[in-house]
Parts: sequence; structure tokens; C-alpha cells
Amino acid sequence: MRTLPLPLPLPRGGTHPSTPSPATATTPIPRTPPAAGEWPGQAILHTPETARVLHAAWSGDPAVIVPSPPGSGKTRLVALLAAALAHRAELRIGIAAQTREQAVEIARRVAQIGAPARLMWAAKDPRPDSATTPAVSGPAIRYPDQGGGILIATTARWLFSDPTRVGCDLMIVDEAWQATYADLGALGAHAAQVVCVGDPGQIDPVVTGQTGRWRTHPHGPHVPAPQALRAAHGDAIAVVTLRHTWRLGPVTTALIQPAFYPDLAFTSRRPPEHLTSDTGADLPEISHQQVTVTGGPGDPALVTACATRARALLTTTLNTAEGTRPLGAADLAVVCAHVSQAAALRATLAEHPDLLVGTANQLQGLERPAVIVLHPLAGYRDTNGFTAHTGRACVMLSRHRAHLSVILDDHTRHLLAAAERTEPAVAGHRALTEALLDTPTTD
Amino acid sequence: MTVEWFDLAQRLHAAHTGHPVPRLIHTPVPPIPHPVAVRARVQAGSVLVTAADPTMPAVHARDNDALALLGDLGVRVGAEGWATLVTDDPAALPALVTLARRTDPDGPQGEVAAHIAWWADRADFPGTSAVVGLVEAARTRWTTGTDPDSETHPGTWRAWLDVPDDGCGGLLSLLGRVTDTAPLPLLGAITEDDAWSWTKAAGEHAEGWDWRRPDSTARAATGLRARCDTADLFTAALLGDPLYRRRAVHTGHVVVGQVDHPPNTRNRITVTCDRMDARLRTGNTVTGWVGAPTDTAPEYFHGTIAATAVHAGRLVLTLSGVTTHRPEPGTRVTLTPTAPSPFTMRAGRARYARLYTARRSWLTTGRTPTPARRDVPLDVLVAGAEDT
Repeated sequence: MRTLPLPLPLPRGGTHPSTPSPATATTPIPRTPPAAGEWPGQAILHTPETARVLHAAWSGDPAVIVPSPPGSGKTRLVALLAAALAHRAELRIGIAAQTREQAVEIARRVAQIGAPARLMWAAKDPRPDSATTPAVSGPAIRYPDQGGGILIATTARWLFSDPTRVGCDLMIVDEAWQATYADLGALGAHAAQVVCVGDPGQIDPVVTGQTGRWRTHPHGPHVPAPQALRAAHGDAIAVVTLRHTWRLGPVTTALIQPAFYPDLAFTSRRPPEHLTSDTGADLPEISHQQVTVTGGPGDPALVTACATRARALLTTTLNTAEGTRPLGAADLAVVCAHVSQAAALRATLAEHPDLLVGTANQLQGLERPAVIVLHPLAGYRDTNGFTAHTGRACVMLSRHRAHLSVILDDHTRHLLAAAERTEPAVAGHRALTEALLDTPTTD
Repeated sequence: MTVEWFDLAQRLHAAHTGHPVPRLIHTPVPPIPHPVAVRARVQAGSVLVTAADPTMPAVHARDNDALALLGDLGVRVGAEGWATLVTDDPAALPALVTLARRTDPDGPQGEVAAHIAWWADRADFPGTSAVVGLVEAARTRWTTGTDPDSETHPGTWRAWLDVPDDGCGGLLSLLGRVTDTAPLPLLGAITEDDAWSWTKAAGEHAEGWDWRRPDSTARAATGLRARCDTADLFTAALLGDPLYRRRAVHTGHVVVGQVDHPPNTRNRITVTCDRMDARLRTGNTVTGWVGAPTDTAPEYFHGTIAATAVHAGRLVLTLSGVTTHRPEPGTRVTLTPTAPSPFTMRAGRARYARLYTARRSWLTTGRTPTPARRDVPLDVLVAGAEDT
């Protein structure tokens, strides 16, 4: 039988995890203490799936993968899990985020639940708004001498760090499908245990180098880390699936689950939320509009259609469980495939500086009550690899809570019908586009 | 103007003049001291090879004889330096690898096979001096007046570059045309990496390492990291070329705009961009100069994008950390992403490799793990056992 190279550590101070003592940091970290009788991260026990993740990690599973649909509470899970394991199990926890923005957001969420944590941050950079989680650099990057603790950083920052200084008991990898298997392996120098949380339907890791050498390897270094882990180690890897989305409504869930998550069944638990027009009519959860395009993906007709739709939506009212209010620019996003399209949209909608405009890559991880999507194949007359990438379409179609408007090129259906039928990405787009065209037409 | 229009205009100009239009001032190929021109194909189970070098006209051979021929041309890991594979056919290297795999690693052609394996590895590194794909190199350097698909055929390039010999000797003439100017800046760093890799491959062969084995987890990871570094370096090398920068204005990789000084700041400037489609993001480090993208400036300034915003329909970038050669308000400047440092990249790769060689966990070794259990409190056990 194979065993781990290093034994998993006992809790610091020798106490049993089931009878924890409070963690003591040598440098006090300001935080919001949990309510009396509670422990930071206790809310992880409130749902069985998240409790299973805690159980698997605490009990010593070497790797736990948590495939999660959009809006399932991944960041919340990461924060609760880290807090619970650090505070109650007294483990040293590392959290690896894929971007600096994600790292800061996790730091804020960990601070909210009153867990001791530090955010690794370059001294030369402006301090981020990480709430009560301090951003530290140099010698301050360390765990408390006793008890558990949490260090948060980007994967790149972890790979820059010395494992003899900041090695930990368990590493939580956030947005793990954006990390390569190569980087996960290097993170393994810091921890013998990993928990990979992420969304398997979204954009793959950015890899600029050629990967043909490992084309046929299911666990090549360029493959998304959780996917490669399962391919390499099979049943040795624990999997706990989150099965509910709190962001997407039932219509959107029915659209994207079969298209992008054939192996991850999930349902909507979003509270009722919708837009109403100025005449008081309810807007459908998803609507579409077809545009005639002659000038490629940069055709002004596409930008004009998106901008017109944005201005129309800004006259609507948002209805949620918390109440009713006019939809503001900060409630709306426009997402497209290309930087040049985003630039043109920003310029056209410059009168609304709070309106979020960006590419799928930029909007990954974000949400808004209402979103306008410029279909990634709009303007194209061939299905090239970039635009047909299903992960990009998945991101674009899963950022909204109450309403989604999709702007399509009226040629796209014909383009997909004529394209190579065996190409999986094309087949996926074909089914998706047909489903979008079945939604109500934008008024 | 979009980049599609820019490319079309170049293509139409080439068609009008009958001469290829340069996309670069420099050549994208580093100096090649020892070229070996090769064509190879698999036919009825045999591998047919035609090879030549500057001192020997083209010779045909098949299978083991072909390996011996390549060995005679200096394609051996035991040689003093490496030979560069020069070809115009993407199928040539896979055919050579097929041949190399059939060879006894300890046999007389083992050194030749190991050199071919090194070619196959380094072919993934753009700007390498190990393998030159002539068609790709020519497409990087010029645009012809034909349709883009035709440019994937070597005959198009022989016609446009006036190389009538379609044999292996012609490959060397085509190489001469592609490399008849100074190489792109930064290619020297990639050649240094070639040399390091060559020495490593030679050492491993001498120690009996079999290149046919699948990559270990660590070897694959460090191989990917090196490939990504080189791809990034090559992209930066292209941006070091004035003609390439002129095109890159239309892809958003190069930004042109007008400088202003925000009030009460000493190390900050704002740049109001001519175009909205800049790819520069907050946190990016940039290098800039006063003048146009095609200018070679006497002095440069450096900074970090601290903020991006749209004011009155114009993109405004705020740069922080502009401590030297801060441009005056009203001047027009060009901004490009700061090129990565090869030194820093190598240090990063060494650190990455050390993480793997530390072998602290099953993740770095790739061995399948088994759990080492901890006790879990009852409330956690119960909460996880409840039905969804």
C-alpha cells in the first residue's frame, strides 16, 4: 500500500480536534469574533454538501474535488472551509486564488466570518481593500506559532514562496479549473492535502506555450487541475458536488446545465427575481434579438443593438425578495467575446460609467441582476477555435440573476448548420443557439 | 481601422507591386550556424529522408540508412554542437520521430535518434534555433499578394521569394532569404535556452536516459513552464520590431495617446488613448517613449497601469511609478507591455523546478496517494451524513 510521503500533522499543541482550543496568533489580527458558542465557519455545517467537504478534508482525504455550478457559493465555501479547518481543526490552511481580485475577495469573506487570516501581497503594490484581513509581505508572511491559521495568495505568489517557510497542512485551490495540473503539482510542495473548488464548465487555464507533446495525455500538465487529478488518480480522489445554484433562475438552469454540465446535474434555488418594464409587464428570464451583420464581429450593428438594449433595460424595475427598485447601471453588465467589441461598447455607453462592460474572461466570477450577451459567434462566417470555445459561452450566459438578453447574428444558425457536425464545440453551440432562439424575442 | 483591414491592405499592396510586403524589419529566425535541410515522409512503413547541408548536396536514404545519413551530417547528441533542422514540411519532423523510435537506443544510431528527439522537444519553442519551419518563418516576416491559405504552401514562398530550386538545396536558399537581416531582439535568450537544453539532453543520453519514456509529472510541468516562458518571450520579441508594432496598434497590444500630468503627482501620468481597444490592464507594467510606434526612441520611461477609465468616450490610462524620463504634458507617446526579463524567467523556472524536486507530497511525485486519517468530531460527521 502506498502512503503519503509525510504523515499528516497532529493539531498544534497536541489537543484533539474534537476539543479545540482557541488559536493564538503571535501578532493579533483584528477580526469580528463569532457569536458566543459558535466557531468561525460553523455555517459550513448548515448544508450537507458543504459539511461533506469539511468532513472529507478534515478526515484526511488527500484530495477533494468540489465541482460547482455557477452561483453555487464557491467563494463562501472556500472561506467557511478555511475558517473551520483553521479554527476548529487547528490546521494551517493555504488558499490559492487564480487572480489578485479573487484573492482579495476571499480575504474579505474570511474576514467577515471572523477567522484569523493573512493575505500575501507585494510590498510595492497599493494595499488592497481586504477588510480586516491584513495584507502582509516579507517576514510578516507566516502562520501563527501555535494553532491553526490561514494564508491567502494567488497561485503565482505561492509558487514564488518557500515551502519551508509557508508550507501548510492543506491547500484550498479556488477556481481550480483555471489552474493547470502543472501548477497544482508545484503547489503540492506546500501541502500534502488539497481541496479543489471550481466550476468545470468555464474557461480553461490560460496556457501560452505549445502543448502538443501531451495532446493524448489525459493528465497532461496543461489540463485543468481537477480533471487531471481524477484522470491520474481515479478513486483515490474524493468528489463532493455542489448541486444548487443560488444565482441562476430555472429557465437559465434548464438552458445551460445540459449544454455545459452534462456530468453535473444541478437545480436552481434562486429566490424569485425578475424585471418589469415601464408598462408593468414582466420580462422573461431570457430573451433574444437577431441582428443582420455584414461587417464581421466588429460590425457597428452589433454594438448598437447591445447599447440600445442596455438603455432599454435601464428603464426597467428590479423585483427581488428584498423589494422593488429601478434597475441602475451598476445592476447591468454587457459581456462580449473580444476586447475590441468591449472597447466599442464602453465608448458607446460612456454615459453610464457604472455599467460593467467586458469580455468573458474579465467577467468570470462576477454577477449582475441583468446581463446583455453579444453572442460569441456574431459576425463570424466560420467557427474558429476561439469563438467556438464552449467555456467562454458558458461564462457569458451565467452572469445574470434576473434577466439575460442575448444579441445574435441572424446568420449564426445557418453557420452552425453548415459546420462540421462531429466537432463537439460546434455541436454544443448548435444546440445552445437553437435553445436561445426558442426564447422570447426582445421587444 | 481593424487589424483585418490592415492585413488586407498589405496583401493588396503586395499583389499590386508583385513583391512581398514586410511585416517585420528583423528576421524571426536566430542565427543558424549548422543548418541541415531535411524532407521526410513515411511510405509503406518505411521512412524516406532527403537531407542536405551547405557542404553537401541532397542525398536520399531510408530507415536506418537515413539515420546514418543524418549522423554523417552532424545530427548526433555526441557532437560538439547541435544541428538545426530546416524544413518546409510540418510532416517531416513527425516522420523523423517515427524513425527514431524504431532505433535501438544503445545501438549505433542511438545518438542520432536522441538528437531527433531533442528537435521534437524544442520544436515547441517559438524562436528556437533547433528547428526552423520555413513556411511559418516566412509568414511571420512577410505578407504575399495571394490569399492567406496559399501562404501555407512552400511553393508560394519559393515563387514570391524567387527561390526556383524546390529540392533540399532550395530549403537552404529559402533559409538564406528568411535570415538575410538582423534577428529580432530577445532571440538570443531563446538560443541560450537551446544551448542549455542541448547540454542537458546530451548529458541525459550519456547517462542512459531513454527519451522514449513518458514525461514524469515534474518533467511535464517544467516543460510546460519553459514553453510558456518562451512563447511570452517571443511575443515580446515581436513587439520589439517597429513594423510589427505598427500592426499591433490595431490589435490593442500597442497604445498611442497624449500625456497629461494629474495634479499633485510626481510619478504619475495619464495617457488619453487614440483608440479604445487597448489590451493594457490595471497592474500591467509598460514601457513607453515619446513618438510613434515605429520610432526607435533614445530614451524610455517605465510605469505600471494604476487605473483605466473612459472619459468622454476616450480611454484614459493612469500610469504610476514613472520615475525617469517622465514625458511632458501634451506630448504623444507610445506604450507597449514591458518585455519579460529572460533572467527573471529563468529564476522562476528554477524555483518551479525546485518545488517539484523537493518531493514533499504525492502531488509533486505523481504517485497515487492513500489517506492518512484524522479523527473528525461527531457534529461534522452527522452534518455531512444528512440527506440533501
